[in-house]
Amino acid sequence: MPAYQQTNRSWRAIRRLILGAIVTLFLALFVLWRIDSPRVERFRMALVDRFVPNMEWVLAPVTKFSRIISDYQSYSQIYERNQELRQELQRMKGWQEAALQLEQTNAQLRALNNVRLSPGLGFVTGEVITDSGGPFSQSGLLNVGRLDGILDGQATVDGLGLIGRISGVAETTSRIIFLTDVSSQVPVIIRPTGHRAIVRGDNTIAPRLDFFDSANDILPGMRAVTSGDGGVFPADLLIGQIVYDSDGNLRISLAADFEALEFVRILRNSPLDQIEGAGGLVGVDSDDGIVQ
Amino acid sequence: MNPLFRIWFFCGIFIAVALISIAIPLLPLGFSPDRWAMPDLFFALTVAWVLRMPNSAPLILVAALALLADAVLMRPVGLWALLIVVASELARMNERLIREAGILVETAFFVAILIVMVLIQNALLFLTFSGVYPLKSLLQFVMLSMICYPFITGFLHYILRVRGRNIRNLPDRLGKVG
Repeated sequence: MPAYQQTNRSWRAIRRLILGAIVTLFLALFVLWRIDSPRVERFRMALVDRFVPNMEWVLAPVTKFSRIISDYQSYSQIYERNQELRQELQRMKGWQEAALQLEQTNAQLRALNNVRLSPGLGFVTGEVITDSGGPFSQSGLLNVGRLDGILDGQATVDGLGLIGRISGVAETTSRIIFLTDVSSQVPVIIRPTGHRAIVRGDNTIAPRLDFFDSANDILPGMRAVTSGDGGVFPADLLIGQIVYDSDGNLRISLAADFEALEFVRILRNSPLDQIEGAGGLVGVDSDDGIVQ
Repeated sequence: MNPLFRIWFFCGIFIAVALISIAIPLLPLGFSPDRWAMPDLFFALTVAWVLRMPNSAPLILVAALALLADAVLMRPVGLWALLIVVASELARMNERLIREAGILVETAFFVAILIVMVLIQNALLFLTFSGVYPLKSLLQFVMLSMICYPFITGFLHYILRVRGRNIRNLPDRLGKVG
């Protein structure tokens, strides 16, 4: 047998070995991802933290270019836009006056009643630098991370409404899961009726409203705000308005503008004190349980 | 060009183009979930490249890049990368057969293998109780990838000048020429 055929054959054997090793490794990784997701997700975030900032030079020009185009489109309708804005401004002025008066009355009543409000929220502002890259998970990447004090589970809002929560933090980047993602479920209160429900993402632009007790009392146009149940989100963040879809299901038309996400706020809520224990019976001696 | 240098040179180009193809779906152009699924540019690039210049897209490189794509694009880690590696090996083994048959057959091969991959992926996700991908976006995904494939081969052929050897004048396995 000639020498080159010999080397050819051994080379092919080595190749097959490498392929087998890679296949086994990837299968193991997939199984590990399924069993022990957090560890693999950390590995993923570390990779993303390395990769994405290095690819900025590709992403940035194209992003800028597309924004210039969409800006240009809005310039071409600048006159109508102007008229619209002027009308809106007039309406808003009325509302502003009403809000100011209400705020004053509110402050007076609070002072009368000695109300204690929960402490205010601090926030960090970040920029959404990338998309999730697929239709399958609704998420984006932010340019702030652990070094900026971002933690898993923090709420993220744009100017007006909630857009999602932080899930996955690396040193300088973090990932946010949008309300539209299938894995997003947020407990809400319907204003003004005070019904409780869950807003569940299903990969459409308007997430579903689920687990409410009386569908008859919940009407389109009512507002949904976070209830703060579960301790993940602070209470009273606006999510959106209730609408019917064509099948008559209740859905939420989100207040945040998902078409034009650029700068977002990550709320840093100081964790509330936890109440521990179920609370003993009042007046019972703790040693023998007999009422004195 | 010295052949060894040529391989390394094209290897570098492959890495660069592959990284860009992974980054393109990340562009923050809109976050509404109703937008269309992105095609798998990296997979199309890999298949097209392996069919033209298998030496400059070695197995280990393809595997590493596929894993990176899995991590960055929020897919289940390892699954799609595994399928890409196996598919690229299939293409590599049948390189000559497919190239000789022309671009139409080549695209058909690409689409067929992509459909099989998507099915295996969804089956495995279903078996492991992970969320499966909805049919509509998978259809969009396959269709867009199919449309992209000829453009990618054109890009490789005319712009990057990644061209296979002229197969017709080489001896085949039995040593016949022509």
